[in-house]
Amino acid sequence: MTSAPPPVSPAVSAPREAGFAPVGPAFLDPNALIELSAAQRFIPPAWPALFLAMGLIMGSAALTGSSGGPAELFVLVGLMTIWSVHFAVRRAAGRGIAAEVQAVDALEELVMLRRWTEAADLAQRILTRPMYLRERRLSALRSLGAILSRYHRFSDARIVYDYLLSDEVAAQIDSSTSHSIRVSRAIGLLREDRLVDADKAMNDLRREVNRTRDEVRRHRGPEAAAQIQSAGLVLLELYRDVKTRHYEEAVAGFEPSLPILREQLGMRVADAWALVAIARDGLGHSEPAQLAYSNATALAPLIELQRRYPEFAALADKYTATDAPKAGRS
Amino acid sequence: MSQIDPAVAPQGLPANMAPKLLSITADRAITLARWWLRLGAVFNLLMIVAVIATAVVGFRHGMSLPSFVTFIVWFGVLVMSVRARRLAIDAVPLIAAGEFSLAEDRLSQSLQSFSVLRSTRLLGLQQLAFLRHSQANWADVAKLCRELIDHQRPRERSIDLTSRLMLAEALVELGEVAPAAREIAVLSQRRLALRETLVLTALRIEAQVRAGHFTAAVEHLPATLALVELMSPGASARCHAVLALAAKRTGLTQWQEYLSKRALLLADIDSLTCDRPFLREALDA
Repeated sequence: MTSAPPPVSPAVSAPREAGFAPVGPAFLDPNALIELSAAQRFIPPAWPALFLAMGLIMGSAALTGSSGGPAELFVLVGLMTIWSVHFAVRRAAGRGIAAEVQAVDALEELVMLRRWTEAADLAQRILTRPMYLRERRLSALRSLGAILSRYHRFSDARIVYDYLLSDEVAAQIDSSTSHSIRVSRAIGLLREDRLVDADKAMNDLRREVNRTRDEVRRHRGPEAAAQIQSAGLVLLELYRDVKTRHYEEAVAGFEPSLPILREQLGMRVADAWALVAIARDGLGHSEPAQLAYSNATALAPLIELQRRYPEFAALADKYTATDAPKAGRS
Repeated sequence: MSQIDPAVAPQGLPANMAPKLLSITADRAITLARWWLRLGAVFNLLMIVAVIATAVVGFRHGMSLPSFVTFIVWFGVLVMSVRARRLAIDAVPLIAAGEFSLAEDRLSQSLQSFSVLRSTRLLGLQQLAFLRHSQANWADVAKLCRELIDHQRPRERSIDLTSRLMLAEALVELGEVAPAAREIAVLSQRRLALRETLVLTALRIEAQVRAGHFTAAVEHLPATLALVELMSPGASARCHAVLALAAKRTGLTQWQEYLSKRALLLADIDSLTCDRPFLREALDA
């Protein structure tokens, strides 16, 4: 049994080899990238090949009959030429589609791995040309939103999110993806201290969750409906309470929500612990604040939490972070 | 095979008005798939022979009609085969939505419907394996995946990879560590996407710990942990707990404390140990 972790796919380098070249004046300009990637590239349908094939069979059989002549031969050669061109065009489109799928998959992996510089470069390359597949384009745009948020370009990220949530596009996105886009958008609003807009966005999210709950209650009963909860919405409410210094509400809402936060956020539950640490510190509860600080830094690097929540940086002098053990035996 | 599923009966409707949904066992699905695959292979061979024969006859006697008719018959049979594929594809969103009874109904219909397309039969089996995976029915997952692997061709990479990953997971869950290790070793030689790498890493760690290879499990621990952090919440919590056990058994006390702390921040001890009681040793304070 092998012991070393297997290498991550080297698909990252493949898209450059597939012919994606950087174009366009502004780096990660959301409006430009949305527009440039919008025109859908033509994929020739498969059905003409079928009729061409039938025509070839009938044509060749007619030629071998007694009535075959130059006209039938001309038709047959014409059909073969059209069929060959159709085949070549479809094959080229197939290669383009495969390259596009590989590029977008590589972009998603880079975002997951938090390799932001490479992800930004690849997103720029992918979205500065028309794309074949609508769903891949939306996936690439979603990654673009995450990259812009990471670079604190929240208003630019909002342009991308608003486009993904627009009527023109929303029908092509599933409800859970749409929900997470709305959560990301609202977090950006809170980061920019646009509390009124953030509150409106949170109300929309709450209505969406209630609508889903009602639908599940109709089809599967109240027990199934009670399981419909949004950890993203809980995190938003926690962040809003911390921003508005409603520390008691933040702390009171945290404990009952912890199970759903753990279940849905995974390692990102560190964000919730970081916000609770700020709230507990604000209430003057040092020991619980230290516990929350220690839990937050056990799950995520201190520098990452400080980047996501500038208010967290102020706690560094007061509390002790959890450090990972050094590599090797200890 | 037919049964009424009360879980999907709309609220308030009498039982005799509830939609009847089909279900199917893994053994029955495999039997049906084998039968259809054999029929499909025979049919395709007959059609090729018929097309060549009618083309030769047409060439000798100047008649295009026999070739044309043969082609139309072949095309018609392929069109009739599309329904089975559509039913198998319909099961995909149902499985994702947790509508297991409806998904099984679609897959039962698909596996019983006429189809000479090999890809459709394998798709039906694969979707049934996904369904059983979602239901945590590991014995069925193992049976179905073995059947898929036996039938796959060298170029059908997507079926082979997915089936082997599910098979490895089923074997780990069933406690069959040695066969699981063999599958994991085969998959480790391949170039995998990130998501597949994460699944394989989780399986590798657990198989190593279950086999008592604790030192191997904690080799390259920081790199392994970087991958564990990217996993889904449940898998990440479980892997932290498994690595905590491996760290304890190899005397890495600080790592054991760190990993068990993380595991308990990601999930409560009861959910971590209900299926894996051996993890309690590393998680109890």
